[in-house]
Amino acid sequence: MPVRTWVRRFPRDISMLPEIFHFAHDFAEKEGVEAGPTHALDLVLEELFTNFVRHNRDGRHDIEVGLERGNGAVQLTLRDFDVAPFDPTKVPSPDLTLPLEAQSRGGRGIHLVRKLSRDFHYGHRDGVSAIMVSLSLSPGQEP
Amino acid sequence: MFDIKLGTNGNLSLSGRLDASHADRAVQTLKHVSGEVIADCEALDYISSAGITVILELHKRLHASGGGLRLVGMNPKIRTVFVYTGLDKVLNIE
Repeated sequence: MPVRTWVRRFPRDISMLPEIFHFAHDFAEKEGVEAGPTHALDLVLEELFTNFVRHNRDGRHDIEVGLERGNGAVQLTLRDFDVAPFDPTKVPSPDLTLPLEAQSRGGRGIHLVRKLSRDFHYGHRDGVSAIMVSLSLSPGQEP
Repeated sequence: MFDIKLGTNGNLSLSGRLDASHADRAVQTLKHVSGEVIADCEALDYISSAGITVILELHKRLHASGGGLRLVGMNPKIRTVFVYTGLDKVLNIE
């Protein structure tokens, strides 16, 4: 069966999250993705979309979300256009062994993406930032 | 959709999806909560790092003023998000 790639662009605003979830759930239903991986998909999409919105503050264009099912995984690609490089894969995870007061507020979202994903890559070319994440469809790999 | 119900006994009931688009409203609603608080999470369907931060800041504020926060009734997928972020060891989750 040919692989279908679902692609849509969303205004760079946090208030777009419900529409992004609706898009992801439509994809999951039509592509037969089960509830567990769909929950992980929501989490990863939210963390990466909000990361682009917050870190690429000079960005003017809509953010592109691409979803594809194949090879026992869901492949996500987020693209942000005409922006400076910002590599979220380099964001350090919070030190969870420190007392709460000593832990930094940031980094938990990207830490979650690392925990949920099979692969997590970033690239920047010709002003386009792209994040590629692979989520396993195998049971037990997701919250 | 996300909703917080404040009980007359000072306890909370959280329901729906606590994501980044609802975090600011949640912070505003929780501003006036004080003392020893039980938050019923049974109807909470989703929480992201933005929602976790809301809960964490409430915990810190209550703890600093001599109160506390207990989170009860979490479903397994919500609990796993707390586990993945290491906060299951810090927060009072039952």
